[in-house]
Amino acid sequence: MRPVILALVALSSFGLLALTGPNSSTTAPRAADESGSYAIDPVHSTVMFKVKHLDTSWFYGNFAEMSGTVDFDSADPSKCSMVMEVPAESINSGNDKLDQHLRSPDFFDVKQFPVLGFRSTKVEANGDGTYKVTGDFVMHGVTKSITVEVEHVGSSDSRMGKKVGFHTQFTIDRTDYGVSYGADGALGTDVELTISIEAGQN
Amino acid sequence: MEQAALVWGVLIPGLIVGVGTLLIPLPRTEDRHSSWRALLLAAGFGAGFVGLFGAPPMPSSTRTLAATDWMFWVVTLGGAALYFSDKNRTLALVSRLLLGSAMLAFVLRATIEYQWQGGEAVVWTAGLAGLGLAIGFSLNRLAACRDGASSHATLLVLLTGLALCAALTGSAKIGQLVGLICAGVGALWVVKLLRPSLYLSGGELTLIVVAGFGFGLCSYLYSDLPGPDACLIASAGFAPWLAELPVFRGRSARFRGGLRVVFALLLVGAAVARAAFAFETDPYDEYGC
Repeated sequence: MRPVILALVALSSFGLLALTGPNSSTTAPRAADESGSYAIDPVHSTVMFKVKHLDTSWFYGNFAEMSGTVDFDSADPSKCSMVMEVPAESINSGNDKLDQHLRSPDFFDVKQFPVLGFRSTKVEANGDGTYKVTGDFVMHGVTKSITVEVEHVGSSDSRMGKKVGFHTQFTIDRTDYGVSYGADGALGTDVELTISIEAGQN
Repeated sequence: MEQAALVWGVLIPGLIVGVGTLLIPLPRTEDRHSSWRALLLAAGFGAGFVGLFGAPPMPSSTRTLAATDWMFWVVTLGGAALYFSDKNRTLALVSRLLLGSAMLAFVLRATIEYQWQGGEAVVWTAGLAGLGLAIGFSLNRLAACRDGASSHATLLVLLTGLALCAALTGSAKIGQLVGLICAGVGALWVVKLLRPSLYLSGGELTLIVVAGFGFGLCSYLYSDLPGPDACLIASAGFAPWLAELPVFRGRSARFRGGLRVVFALLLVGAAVARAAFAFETDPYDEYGC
């Protein structure tokens, strides 16, 4: 008899949780019309990088700040555009001394090249909610045209306003951008960038 | 990788300047304006730069060069310009002033664009130009100095101190770039010991001052060379003037030469010690970069 009572108590507890739990009330509904102009929300967006250290392990870091705009048109991708700026000074590795070195002329040279940026020039639909975005990527004073695959992660329309989210991952050769310190083996030349953007409607 | 840094950063520039100086016969009477060693210093610097950092950076519509990249062109083309213009005194003077002005324009570009506002930029640029000229005039006293090898030693102390301070205060790259000039001057010092009739010329001194001052500014403005350290190193540039104070005038050339080296050594040593203590541990070792 005792196990049956315990099972009933457990079931009723789960039932109460299901009625009052967070899932039932805070999941924002997907926006009916996602098109519009959005401003990048720096708090919920991320720019991460990873690079090989001593050809031994992956070293991760990120940029703590970013800003920019996204013009999104779900019906006509050619009308989409994106501008993103990342203050080089906001680089963060978790170690103050390393950050200081990363900001120096050996790496990002932030006093001479204070901003990393991306400005799209062409957007094409790729199917499955992904887009092929071509644009000018600027780092360390060097501008290069790159094409990346961007995933449209989702959208929402809640009391926090209308929001859209995108995610991309691509690799650059840092020596193409004149950042060649340690390229003789201490640090890899290929740097993988992960950019996740949440943008709120203006 | 340390071996490559040693070979390209020290050995190659040193050999280019040293062997080149030994192979080219000295004129019977050394013209103090003769600048062919400026060409050797520029060649040594250029070879070392390419060996350490790859192909020389070219400015274009899609590439804004960093000050240290501009310094590649200032030093290599400057060495050639000083060599070809030294036959005519007016032309030599004009090319030296142009070289100094070009260096200031390229090195200060980013600071003027992002940091200094209007009048501030004018005051700073004029002040730094004045300081560069004053250091240039002071070090130019070393041209054709009959004081043994102390003229070369003074320059070597100055450049070594600057290279160490730059590397200790955050930028190994600037330290290595100064090291390239340092290796060339070190080779000249060794040749001077072997061949006492070798004197410093105005042309090579101009190149050394422009390169040293330019990289000093890069280190101060774009890296983390502290102001007091920069002032100590800049003050060491006035060592030649100190040795000419009336109180030392009756002394021998060798005594005054030694005085210059000691004065430079004290100031530069203080700057290096400050930099070393400020960055208690090796700034690169701690995180293995």
